[in-house]
Amino acid sequence: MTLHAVLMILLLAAPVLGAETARQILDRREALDNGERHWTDRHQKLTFHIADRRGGTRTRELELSEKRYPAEERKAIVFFSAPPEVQGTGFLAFEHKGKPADQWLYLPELQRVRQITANTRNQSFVGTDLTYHDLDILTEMTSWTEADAASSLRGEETVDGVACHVIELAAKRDDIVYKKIVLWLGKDDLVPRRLEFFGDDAEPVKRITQTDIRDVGKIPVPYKTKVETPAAGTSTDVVVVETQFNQNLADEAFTQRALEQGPQ
Amino acid sequence: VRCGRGGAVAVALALVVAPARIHAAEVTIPGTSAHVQASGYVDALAVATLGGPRQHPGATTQLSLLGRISRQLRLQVTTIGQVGGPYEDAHPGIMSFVHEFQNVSPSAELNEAWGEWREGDLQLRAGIQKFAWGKLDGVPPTDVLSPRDLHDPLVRDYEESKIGIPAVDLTYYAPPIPALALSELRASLVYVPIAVPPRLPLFEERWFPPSVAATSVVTVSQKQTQQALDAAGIPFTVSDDVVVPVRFHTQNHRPPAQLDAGAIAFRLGGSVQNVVDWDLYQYSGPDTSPDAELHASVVCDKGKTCFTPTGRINLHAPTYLRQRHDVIHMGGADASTVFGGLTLRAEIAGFLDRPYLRVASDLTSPAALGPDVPGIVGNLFGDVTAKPPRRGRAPVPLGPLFPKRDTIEWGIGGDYLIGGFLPLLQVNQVAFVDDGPRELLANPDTRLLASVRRKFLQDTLELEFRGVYAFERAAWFVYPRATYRWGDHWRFRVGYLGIGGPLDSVIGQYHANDEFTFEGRYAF
Repeated sequence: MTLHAVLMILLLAAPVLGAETARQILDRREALDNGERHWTDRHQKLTFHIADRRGGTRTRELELSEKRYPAEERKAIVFFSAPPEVQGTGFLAFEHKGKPADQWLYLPELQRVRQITANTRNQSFVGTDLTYHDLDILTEMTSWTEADAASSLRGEETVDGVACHVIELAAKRDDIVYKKIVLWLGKDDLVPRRLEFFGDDAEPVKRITQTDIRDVGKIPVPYKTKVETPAAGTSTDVVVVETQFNQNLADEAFTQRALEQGPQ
Repeated sequence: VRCGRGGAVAVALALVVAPARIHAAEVTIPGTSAHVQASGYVDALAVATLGGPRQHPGATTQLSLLGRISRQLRLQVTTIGQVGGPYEDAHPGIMSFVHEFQNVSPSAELNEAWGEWREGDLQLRAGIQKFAWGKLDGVPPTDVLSPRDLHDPLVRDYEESKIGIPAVDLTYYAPPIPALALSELRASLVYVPIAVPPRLPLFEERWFPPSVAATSVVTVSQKQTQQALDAAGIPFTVSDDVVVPVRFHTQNHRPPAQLDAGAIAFRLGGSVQNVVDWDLYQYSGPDTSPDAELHASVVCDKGKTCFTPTGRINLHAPTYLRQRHDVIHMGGADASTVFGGLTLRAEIAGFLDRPYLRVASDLTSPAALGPDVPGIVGNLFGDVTAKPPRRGRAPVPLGPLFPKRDTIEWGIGGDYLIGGFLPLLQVNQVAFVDDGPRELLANPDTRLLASVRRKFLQDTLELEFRGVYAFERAAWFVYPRATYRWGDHWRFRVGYLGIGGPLDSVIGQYHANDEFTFEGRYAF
């Protein structure tokens, strides 16, 4: 091969070699989440509008407080304020890396805090289109490595007018029930605009769309999330009513006592 | 408490109807940061009986107002209104705190009315309140503080049937002790100033215990009667066995209105490494489970002569099931933990002097009454030789219907979430540790509680099967039911209650009470 030919190949290949890989994009996103977008505690008021296939809707309103601890431990407490039948119900979880969470449930009709199993991964979260496993995936996906899921860049697409990287994550871990997850990350802010969870079929099992992204401090928060289960014809709209970060929530806010006493 | 009829009707009906007009609301009191939140439900229950005693359609409403006055102060008021249901020939009124037998419909009840003050690690709650002790499903053995309304004991949810009691509850939340891996430590001291009994069904009602009602006829043999008459010197020849119909009445007898007639209770709880949750309990005070005594007498039938020319004796026995109060002592403990998908719960309670229902027919059997027959006959007919013979009355000495016993009650159970199903198995046992008469419970009395639940259609449809089997008495009940939730406010429930077993068992005595239940609830 002549020197001229080598130079030509290098020139043609340059755009490709210079482009970011999916892994680099994901690492950049993780760096942002661990850097300027990092938070230690979060308090949110959320409303879930759950639609069935016939168009009937139900509502769940809840207040969620979370606090992160060293060694990837996390405590969360949730209080339901609507509908009336679940009003006053509370849920407390201590999540640990590598072992099941400790969980407690407070049911106002029982007036008791009860320890419950964490073996709920495939159960629907309060009747929504999200399972507990989906919530785990959404929480931990940012820190996945290539050992958890192999990433590949599928190109670029526009979602709701926002230019996005399209990244495919092929699950490698047995405990991830989905075969692959396709992620549309905003090119500018690296905020997911859409996620599709696939099983064996070409159609996604779940489709999550995030809109109305607003910055709370330096942290971008999707104020509207739509979760669809196409095969079932059901969907859940999650609306963030209020979000606060880094309020120095006290450890006492994540106790059985707090669960029993309800939201302050 | 019977108040003016018109007033009671107005209050009771207002409590039944008013919540239906109210929607959940949270109101901020102007000029303050205080919030008042209203919530509650209107519940209608209809029962299709399968041959047993009837039960009218009924409605229950609950209206709760929770006021968050400040970070320290909360106030709660909950009222319950009821109309229809198992009551027969009821009168309108307000439920009393001190009467065991109440036949009130429409009724109004102050179920909760308390104020709570939090200061640091201390919490003081005073007023009418309900307590929930124990970790087991069904009826936790240590859950003795709050009495229950037992007019409809199997269909109505256990916690919803609890009656609020006046009490002062002081709780201290202690800081964790890392060296012992202890956290969530709390110590509660409860003082209950007056005894509040449970509410029991009346004789005419569907859920009056048939084992007690079964003693509606007492037969004394001809030979025994003749011997007693001869011994009393009464010149009459009895031609046949004497059959004495028993006429049942229930009678209230309010507990002593003394401060020392109340209860003292203590609870210490915590968690070991957030893995094992535990509690210790101590209770000394009035028993909150059913307690009553039988007061019986025999009298000659009104309008008839005691002795007939054909050698028969016309008698009947007015019998009063009278409210009674006994002080019990209970020490107990419970614990729960999780192994993977399995949640385990265990509980134990030791009771001193707790009243347990006897087999009532034992009290009126010939063997039990035999030694007393001469005395009864002597008292009854002592002056029968007067001209004309005077009708007599004689008390019938009966043993205690609820003798006080020492027992150990314990249970262990677990649930396991698998494939969306939540099966639960639990074994409970009551063991008498002293000598005493035959009780309605076997000794030991072992029960298996089994249930399984599954939600479908985005949690809108829930199917549940619940059943209890008492091994020694071979008694059981099953209550499968389906619940459908429509929108955010409505719940519809259909169920079937099937009961089987012998008359001399706590569950089996209701074997004629099989029923289909239809319930609709609007929550706000």
